[in-house]
Amino acid sequence: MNVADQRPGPKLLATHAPRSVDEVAEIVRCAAERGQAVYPIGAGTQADVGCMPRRPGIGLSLAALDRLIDYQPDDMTITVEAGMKIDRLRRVLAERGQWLPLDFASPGGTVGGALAVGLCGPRRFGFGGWADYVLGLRAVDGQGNEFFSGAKVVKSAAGLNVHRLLIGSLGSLAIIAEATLMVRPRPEMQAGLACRLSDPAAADRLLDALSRSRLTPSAADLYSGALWEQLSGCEPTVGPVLVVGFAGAAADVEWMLDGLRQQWREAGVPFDAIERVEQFDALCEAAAAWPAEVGVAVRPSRLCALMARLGGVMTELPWQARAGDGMLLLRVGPRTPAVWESFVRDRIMAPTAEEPSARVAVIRPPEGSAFAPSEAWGFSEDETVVWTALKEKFDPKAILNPGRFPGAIAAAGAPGASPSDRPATDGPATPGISAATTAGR
Amino acid sequence: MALPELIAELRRVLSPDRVLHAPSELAAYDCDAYTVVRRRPTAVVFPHDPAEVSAVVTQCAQRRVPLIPRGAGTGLAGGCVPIDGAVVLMLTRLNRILEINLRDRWALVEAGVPNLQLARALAGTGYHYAPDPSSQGASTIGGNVATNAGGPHTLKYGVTVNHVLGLEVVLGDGSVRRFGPVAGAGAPDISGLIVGSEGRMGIVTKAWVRLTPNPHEFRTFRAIYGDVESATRTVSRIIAAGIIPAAMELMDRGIIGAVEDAYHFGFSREAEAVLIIEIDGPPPGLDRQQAQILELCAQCGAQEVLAAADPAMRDALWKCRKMAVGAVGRLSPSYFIQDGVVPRTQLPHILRRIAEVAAANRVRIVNVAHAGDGNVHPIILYDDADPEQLRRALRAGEELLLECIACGGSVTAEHGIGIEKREFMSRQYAAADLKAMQRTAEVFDPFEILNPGKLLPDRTAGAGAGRPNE
Repeated sequence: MNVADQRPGPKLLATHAPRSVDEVAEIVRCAAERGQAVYPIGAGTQADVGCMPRRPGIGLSLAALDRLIDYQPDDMTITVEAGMKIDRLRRVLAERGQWLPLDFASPGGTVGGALAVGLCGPRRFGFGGWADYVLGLRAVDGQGNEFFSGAKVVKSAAGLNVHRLLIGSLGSLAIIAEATLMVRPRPEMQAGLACRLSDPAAADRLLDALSRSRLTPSAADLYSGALWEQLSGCEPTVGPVLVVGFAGAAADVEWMLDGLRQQWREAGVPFDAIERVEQFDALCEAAAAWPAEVGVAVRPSRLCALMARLGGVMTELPWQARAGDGMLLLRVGPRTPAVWESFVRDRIMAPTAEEPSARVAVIRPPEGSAFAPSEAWGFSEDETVVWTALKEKFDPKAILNPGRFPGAIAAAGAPGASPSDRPATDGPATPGISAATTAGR
Repeated sequence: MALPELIAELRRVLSPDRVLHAPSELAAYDCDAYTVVRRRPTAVVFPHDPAEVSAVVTQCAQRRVPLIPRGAGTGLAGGCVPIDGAVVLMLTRLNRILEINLRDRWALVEAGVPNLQLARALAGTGYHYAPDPSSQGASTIGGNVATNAGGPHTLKYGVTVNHVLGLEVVLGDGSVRRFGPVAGAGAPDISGLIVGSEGRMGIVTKAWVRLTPNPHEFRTFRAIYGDVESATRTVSRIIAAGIIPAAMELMDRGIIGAVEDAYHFGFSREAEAVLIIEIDGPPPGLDRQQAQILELCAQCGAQEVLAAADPAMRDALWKCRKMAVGAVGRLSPSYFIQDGVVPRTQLPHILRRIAEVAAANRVRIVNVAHAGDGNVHPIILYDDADPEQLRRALRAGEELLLECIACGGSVTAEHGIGIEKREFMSRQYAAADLKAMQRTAEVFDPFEILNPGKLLPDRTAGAGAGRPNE
């Protein structure tokens, strides 16, 4: 399976399936010499994330790099090649009572692909995201240089955390070939409570009470009524549903569920609006697998205010929100590219611009929409400046996944690229930063 | 370098009283807590805000004068030693807590805020800032960010990078940039890249740090052993049982004796090893974990296990651990504390090797360790009046670090590379790995003026500066 199987994508002139990191490096080196685009491919399960590349190029499948290199359960570390499937990783860990406390969009996906996409699910609130579990990465940059960043132990302060840049950057700085991850003991129990609400303002009050209590949820999420029905199979509901879950020893989870139920009752939630979610693990996976098209990040305390600003959008579209982390995820649904785009611009981006802490990312722009990568990803100016310079350093020929992620504007010769209009504060000329800076705003 | 001109400019952009340059005023800034290397700075400046930091960086960038950001100067790897006539930029006057927001679970603090000041400001809120390095009474959040500081509770709660949501940073061209705290879906974690960069990738002026709900309850235990191996076996068995304690700290006989001499906590001087184990969480699960831990300690041969009966006793146990290094002053005129990390299961091996290395080099080494993380802190004792002793102490330290690398570990878990360990970077990393780091640093520091000669080995800056004082 490759990018082209998933949806219209770049024309793949050939697809290589290297069997070693050295071979990955060799393929990239040859491509760099020819200035040929390279499209890294995992299992193709998230090939719709990011902007659609257009340049023809070669596919580089990491499927054959799927070895378990080292697993030390008592050290709580595991090293795997990037092509290892998530479900195999989970099986290996489960045999020793361990897990990676992350929500995977697709069990059929690969470790490298999940890292390159970097999206997290509901349990990021309680357990942290990908970056918190990656101890080290081996990768190949856009010139075919293989490098390792990080360590293979749970704690190291040696050197720069270059690997953190590779998480979520869609293989546009370097292709992830191997990952060393920190794992954890699998909790004995996971369960949650769901609460049917009349409107987001009611959710705000409950979330506020939650933050003032001493409960430690693994997740705190809101779902639109329609999405809740789809994910949970529960009865339809009109208003949003707040779901708070816990993980840990069974006695602890029960204790916290009791505390939460009491908190909600004290807040005046009717008894019959609360239901227990036994399959909380499965719910989190389903929520993470839901293919959100637009993500609006906002400071958590302003999430409900943001939803109020979005007005009718919140009743028209299915959505979920990571209330603890401050992330609203929406699906605009099938529309023509032009209608889809104008809906996002007028109904989501425009009202969001009024909310100072919020930023929009177009996670899955439809084929044919005109969002440029830097706009789609909602980079701030500071991020754009630094990212563009990093891209120049790691992939100077802009061959890695060109057009799918921000950063390669100057090198790709995109129209409209111009030097930065923001010089350093009274500073001297800045060869490392401004020379590589192009407008992506 | 037109230094008088630079000093005149710095006096102009700050104010004359915030620029120290007389030799007598500079002596206090010639090293940090790694006293093996001392160098005199060109000047020491005290900006009050990010704009002033930016102005200082710009002046230094124009003249290519190296600049060293400094917090409390508690660093243990010489990260703040002003080699090559650097200007020391003090961040201690950026010392305000700007926001504490429990609903967002973050605090916005200036870089010079001491870790403990933030801890005190959070008292009573039900939240805390999790990284608690032993230096927390003095060390600043900015310094903690620069070294990716840890502490005893990182086993369960992670190190500084896991608790930084965003940073305001002055880059090497003087630009003031902000990364985070609201992370876009899929946006790269640039602030996480800057954490641990030891001032090489910008001068942190503000940090948005994550607040963690206080645990409902703690249970703290002190287990005493007749041999070190039994203590390390306990650590492995607890982890293998699927328990992640908040902390598991090991102290050996040498350090126990020093602590007793200094503070009289009542430890038996016959003990070969002491483990301090802390679990936290909701009460129901703690009872079971406590029973498991007591059982495992007994199975592994603990001679005595004491549970802290009340918060005062817990505080006393932690005080004894956190003041352990200070107590070493009673054992020796000088010492340096080493920081290395191995896979946890290699802990018995590395502790045996430490004893062998001490014997072979005829130095005394006492040990504290964040045992749950495999993070050892051998403390190497020497008399600085005797250059031969210093040489042997340094050689012992080097041998231990090489052993950490050989075990698949790292030459630093939480103190950083600084000037002390930069030559070890090329032992731990391949040339291509270092090049990737170098290229990354260049993006943030195009003129190579931010703490050059630290962290990365392959540059001309500070060549030979890692040598001890002549």
